[in-house]
Amino acid sequence: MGSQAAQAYDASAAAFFIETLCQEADLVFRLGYTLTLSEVGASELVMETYRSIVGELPNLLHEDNLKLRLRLFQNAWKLFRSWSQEFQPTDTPLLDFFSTMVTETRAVLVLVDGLGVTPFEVAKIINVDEVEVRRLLAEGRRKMVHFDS
Amino acid sequence: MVKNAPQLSDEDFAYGYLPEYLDDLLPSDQRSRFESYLKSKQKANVPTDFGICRGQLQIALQKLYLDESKLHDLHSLVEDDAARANHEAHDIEEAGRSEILGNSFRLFVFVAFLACLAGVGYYFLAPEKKAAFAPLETLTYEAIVMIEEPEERLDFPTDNIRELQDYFARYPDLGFRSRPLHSPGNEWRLIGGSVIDYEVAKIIAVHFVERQQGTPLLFFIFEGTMKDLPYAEPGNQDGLLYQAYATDRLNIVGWQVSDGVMGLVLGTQGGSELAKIAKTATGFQKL
Repeated sequence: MGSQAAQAYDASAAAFFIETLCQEADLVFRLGYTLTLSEVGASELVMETYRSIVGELPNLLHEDNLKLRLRLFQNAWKLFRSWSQEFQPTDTPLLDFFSTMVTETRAVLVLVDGLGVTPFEVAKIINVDEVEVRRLLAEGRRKMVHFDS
Repeated sequence: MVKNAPQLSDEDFAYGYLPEYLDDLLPSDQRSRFESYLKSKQKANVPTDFGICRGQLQIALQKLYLDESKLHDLHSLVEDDAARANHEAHDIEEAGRSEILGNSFRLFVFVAFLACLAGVGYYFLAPEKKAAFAPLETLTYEAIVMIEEPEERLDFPTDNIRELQDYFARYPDLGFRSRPLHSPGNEWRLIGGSVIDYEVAKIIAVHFVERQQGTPLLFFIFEGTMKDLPYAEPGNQDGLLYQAYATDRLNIVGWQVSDGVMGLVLGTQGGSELAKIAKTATGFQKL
């Protein structure tokens, strides 16, 4: 992926991007790993997510942090759904457990139980109704409680 | 909160609303539905197991983070290296202009010197430390008093374990968190519980009596480790590691309920029987 030539932003927008938006990068990375099962894929998804939002920086300066975080999650989800490439899985303590679930289930489980997003917000992020989110949550939690590591 | 619940099967409802159940946010009718499902499927441990698994998931996720080079790539979307170097040079120049750092350091040294002086003074002049809490001796005595005068010693008389769990969960400044205590079996009748407030520790105390004979059974849960107990040959009851002791009136079993939380159960049963009761009532730490 690598770095690219920086566009021209004023100092306050650049500071906002680095000091506020980039504070959320680890959370987006965790969602990225959940979706791709790969640290390479997660890094790439983080980069593409931030690239998708950087053009709107002037409009984001006064958004509250929670809205910004949800926006990042939503963009990451949309980008992932539009991808066709696959990544070599990265072995972590979560890989075996995540591999037992379909992408939607593990995304909902991690967003709610791992990253603290409400089911109502998750429904907006992945664009399904809240009943479906609860069903996916139930499936993920059932696997989690009964998963034998 | 539960507007979608009617559209879910009992199983999906139970698993889908586990945190709301644990946080006591379900209305009473939905709470009854939840508990009926767990009871009918013999899944009473699911809420506790879920709480543990969720914690493990969060810990595992925290080990995933973006590395420094990728973070640098992100920053480069809005600011190239040259601009960043200029900003940093500017910041350093600003810092160099003021002598705040130097003054702060000198102040710090002076305050540290005073703190050392105060520390030495306290060491020599402070009153003697209070005796450390000795759980086995103290709580054995406490158990005997509770058996003889249960009405006097129970802050919260009840025969409902759920009410008692809520009482402990809401107790202010308990100083530790423990998994909830469950009934050790139908043959035992709950008569109430207390939080005993010693100066050095707070203790959860729960008092049961056997329905037929009226023999007592007391649980004490408190902050501590097995090292706080005198050495005894460890026993193993289906994975629960315990140490057993005896007095002329009661047998005692101690075990590690969870990290930093100890349990003692006292009764007239033998050590392995008490360990079995302890396991039923609180489970034990998975090592």
